[in-house]
Amino acid sequence: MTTVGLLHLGSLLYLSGVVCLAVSVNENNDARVIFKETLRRWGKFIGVTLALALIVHLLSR
Amino acid sequence: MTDGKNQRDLGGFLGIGLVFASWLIPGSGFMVSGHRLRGAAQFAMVMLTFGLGIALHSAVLWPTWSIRSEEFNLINNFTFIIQLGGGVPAIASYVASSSNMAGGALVRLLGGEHSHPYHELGSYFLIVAGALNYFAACSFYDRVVNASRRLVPSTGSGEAEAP
Repeated sequence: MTTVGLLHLGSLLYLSGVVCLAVSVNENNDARVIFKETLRRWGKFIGVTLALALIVHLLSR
Repeated sequence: MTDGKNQRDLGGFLGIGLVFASWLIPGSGFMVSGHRLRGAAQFAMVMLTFGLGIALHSAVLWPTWSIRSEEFNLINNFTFIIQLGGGVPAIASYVASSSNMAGGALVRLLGGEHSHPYHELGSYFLIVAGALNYFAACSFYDRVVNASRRLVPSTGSGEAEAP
C-alpha cells in the first residue's frame, strides 16, 4: 500500500474520531461518559464505513 | 468535564462578545466563563486538526465568487466559509496564502503549497477544524450565554440517550 493510501486511511480514523469526540464533549460533563460515548460513536461510524466499502467493492468486481 | 458552573446566564453584549471570542480563539469563551476543561478540550481538538491540515501543505484559499467566471465552483465557496470557522489561525492562513508578503518559515507554512499532492487532503482537515469551532461556539452559546433556555439541563453526568 502506498504512503498516500495509508495517509488517507489515517485521516479517516483521525477525522471521524475527533468529530465523535467533539459531539460527546458537547453533550456530556463526565470524562468517563465522554470516553465511552466517543468509542461507541466512533465504532458505529467505522462499522458503517467498512460496510459501505465492502458493498462498493463487491458491486465493482 | 465536571466543571459544573454552567447554569450562569451571560446575556447581552458580554455573551455575544464571548461567542465572537470563542470563534476567534477556539474554546476561549468556555475558559473565560470558568469551564476550563471543556474550553481546553475544544481548543486542543480544533488546533490539532488545523495544525495537521497545515502540516499537509494546505491553506485557506480565496475562492472565485463571480458566477460568470469559468473558475467558479460552489464547493470551493462553501469550503472557504467553513474553513474560516477556524478563527484566528484560519484568518492567518488566508492572509499568508493571499498576500505576496515575504515572510519566514511560519508564513510559508501557513500559506500552503497549492501544487503539493497532499494539499487537497489537508483542506479536509481545515474544513473539519472550522466546523468543530463553529460547533464549539454554538455549544458555548447554548450552555453559557443562553443557559436558562436550555431544554435539557446540563447539570448531571449527561447520560441521556445519544444518537
